[in-house]
Amino acid sequence: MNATLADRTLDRLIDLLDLVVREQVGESLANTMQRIRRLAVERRAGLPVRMQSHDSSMNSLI
Amino acid sequence: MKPKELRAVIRWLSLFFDLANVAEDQQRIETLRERDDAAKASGSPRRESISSAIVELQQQGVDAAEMQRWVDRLRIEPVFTAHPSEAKRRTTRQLLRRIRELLAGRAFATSDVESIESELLADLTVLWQSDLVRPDRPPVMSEVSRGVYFVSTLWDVVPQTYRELRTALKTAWPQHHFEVLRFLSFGTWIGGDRDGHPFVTSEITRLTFTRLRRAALEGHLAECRRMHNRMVMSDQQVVSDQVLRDRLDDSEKRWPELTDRLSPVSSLETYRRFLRMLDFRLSRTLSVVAYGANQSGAYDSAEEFSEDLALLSDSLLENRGRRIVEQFLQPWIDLVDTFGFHFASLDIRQNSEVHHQCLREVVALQRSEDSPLVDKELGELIATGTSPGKIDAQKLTEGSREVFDTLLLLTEEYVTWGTQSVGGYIISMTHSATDVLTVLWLWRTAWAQNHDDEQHLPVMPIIPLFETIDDLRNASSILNELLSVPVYRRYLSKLGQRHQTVMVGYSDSTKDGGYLTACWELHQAQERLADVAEQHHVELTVFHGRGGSLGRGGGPAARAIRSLPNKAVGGRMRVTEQGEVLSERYDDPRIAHRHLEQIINATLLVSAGASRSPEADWLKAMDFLSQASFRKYRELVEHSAFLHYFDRATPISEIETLPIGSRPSRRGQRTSLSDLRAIPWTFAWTQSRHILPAWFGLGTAVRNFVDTDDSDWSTLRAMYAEWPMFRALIDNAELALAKADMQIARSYAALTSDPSSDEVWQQIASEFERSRGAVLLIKENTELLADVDWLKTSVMNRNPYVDPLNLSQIELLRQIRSNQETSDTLPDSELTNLVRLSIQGIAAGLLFGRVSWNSPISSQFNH
Repeated sequence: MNATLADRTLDRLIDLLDLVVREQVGESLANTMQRIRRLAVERRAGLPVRMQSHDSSMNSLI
Repeated sequence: MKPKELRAVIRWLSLFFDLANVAEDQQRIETLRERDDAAKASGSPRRESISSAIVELQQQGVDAAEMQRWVDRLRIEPVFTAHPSEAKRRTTRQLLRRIRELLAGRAFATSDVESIESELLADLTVLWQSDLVRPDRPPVMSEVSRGVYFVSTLWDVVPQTYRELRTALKTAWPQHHFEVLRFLSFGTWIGGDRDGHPFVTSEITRLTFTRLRRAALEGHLAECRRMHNRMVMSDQQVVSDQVLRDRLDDSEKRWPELTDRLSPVSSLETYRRFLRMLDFRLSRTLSVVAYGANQSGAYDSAEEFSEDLALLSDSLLENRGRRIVEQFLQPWIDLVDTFGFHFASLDIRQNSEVHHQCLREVVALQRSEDSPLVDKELGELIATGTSPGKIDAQKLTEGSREVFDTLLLLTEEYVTWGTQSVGGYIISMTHSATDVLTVLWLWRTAWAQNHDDEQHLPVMPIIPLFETIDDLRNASSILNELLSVPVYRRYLSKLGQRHQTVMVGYSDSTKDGGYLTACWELHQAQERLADVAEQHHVELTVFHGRGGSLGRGGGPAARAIRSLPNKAVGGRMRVTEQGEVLSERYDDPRIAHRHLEQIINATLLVSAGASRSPEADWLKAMDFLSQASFRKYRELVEHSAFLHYFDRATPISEIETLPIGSRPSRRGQRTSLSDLRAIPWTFAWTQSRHILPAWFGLGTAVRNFVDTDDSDWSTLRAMYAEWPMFRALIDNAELALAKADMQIARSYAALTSDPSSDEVWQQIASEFERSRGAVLLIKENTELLADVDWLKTSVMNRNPYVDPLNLSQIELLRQIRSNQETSDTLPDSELTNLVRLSIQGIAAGLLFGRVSWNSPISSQFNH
């Protein structure tokens, strides 16, 4: 199944959601969410299906 | 992070998954469209469509006459339930539906992107500012309305499926005229299922019947008005049928107020005048339903209304109006056949124990003697043809009174509205034939309260539900015993062809015996039930009480149905559609259509298609695997620290207080496995990424099997390649194993405090590795989901976002529990709210229920 359309649609929706989040809760939190997104994209690109769930960078978000 | 920040991050992640699901739906719809185009270009039907089933059956040698017999037998009935694992609010669903529609609009109107994005931004702002989790537990009638919410989708989709079946048959056998009557209908438990649900009373059930009828009638009225605007044919151009004009004249005489309604319509437009008359009568019927008013002109039944539509259709056909009938009127006739005046047949469900208590009280009131009957005497009494006497129902205790009032309501329902509105009376935890005879006696007693003639007792389907491993093993002998009791045989014979529905429960049997054992016992029970029904010359419908999620019988539609024993299907598919998956399957008409066509496709193929019996050594292997898996599973759940582990290493306590359904989630104090409800059981294991109800025991069973002297992997590989039952078993386990994450699960395990809990964790972790290895070796793959690329990608894309939610949840649980342990105060409400948010987010992130019946995965696995 071609995932391109789903990826494109989701990326656009999340971009819009980020705009809303910036308006609603401010830059700082919105940047945190951007960071989660960036980390997720990096992991998605670099790791197989099974995740390393104890990644310290993820833990540091909590 | 501070709670406020954490709240924002959890909300963002939750919304991320909601939007990811919307995006995947877009993808799915686009893929379906591409497949449609490809099918049209190639001249061959789309896979898993109704048409592809017909073509395949024709290729297998089924002729037109035989096909007509299967079409006559075909009966598909999804039954909606409201089980408490739907974590998302209806308002949130509505917003997401709107976003989906906006996206669909964007795909077609690229020039308007800017304004659509403005709307999307506004909707996302509303979404961000709304409560994603319900503040309070919803009342039952809200859940009823939620079920009715899908009417608009079904209204679009149902006629399409009828049309496709007719077209497919005509294309395959152009010379043969097929009769396609009602083959699709819907049922519901919402407002009728009172098992463990004290808020579903006879009054709620009465209101539910009314609500459902209103939905159907409002739909027919809207359809009637659409038709009125279309059928503007004039008698000056084509002379309408005299029968129609006579019916109109007769109606005006009977209901003089109709004249005012007809007067604005030209006397030359007979069809429109006839539709005005239908509008008048439907409106009157709606008033009867809504206000209980006695309205002249109201229809007595949907059948009477169907007769009027048949008159209209005949007249059009006689006046060169075939195209008008096919395009406009037939879809409405199909809607009337499917939804009648009831929309969905309401099932009643209650526990066998509750009926026994009611029976003891009823019989005590019926007998003049002071001494109560012992159970054996009661059993003998209800198996005789003795007429039950009237009782003073006021003297019943509250619980028994409720049972009796419900049965009285059902007698009224049958008398007033006929047979369609009641689906059946389901007896959960059926352990014996007496459980069914008890309900029959109570039904006869309720009828006798207001009717002297038992000959007219309506044949309400009484449906035993077998849901534990022991009960599944005994199900066929219980049915055999029941069908041998003369009073029950006579009851079934009242309809002519005797018919019995038997329900099998996937959730409780899986909780009771573990995944592999439940799969095998369910399969065998259905085969044996079919044999017994055949011996007694009784038509059997197996009603599948499946969950939407893996571990509760969930899995792709085609895979699930095609894995069933074909003699236990026989053209009939009644299956629950659990609350948690209703939105995923029925929110979008295109996805709902795909879901229904897959069910119809698989039901036709498994019923009428060629089938191969499993080899004797496969059956022997399954017995071995099942026994080994059962031992391993019971060893786990009977471990002294297991309940503590479950209590601490999952968010079960928080799930039980979650206001996501009207039904209480907990049976009482948790002291044994049987105190746990199956639905939150599976939900809790899913949240903590163990997902063990869908795989535990498989690894040990397979390992033991291949370690025996005369066995090897080749047997299991042959079973996987050639036996749909085993293939579905392994594929569903693989999916669960791929979604599980033992590293995250290990973090949940760290929340336990009992020193023995580590033994439980070790058992789970080692069994996970064994099960994973077993699946890979059977499928001869090196990684899970290696042959399902799109799903592997979806899991890979989602996991990085689910993990922070899990880690947040673990931290929140730790904080809540440390508060509880250091002081006796309730957990901080903010922490509780955050946990609830995380539960909702994880559920969305793990596509809880989405990779299920309507997923494209089935086309990957079944071809």
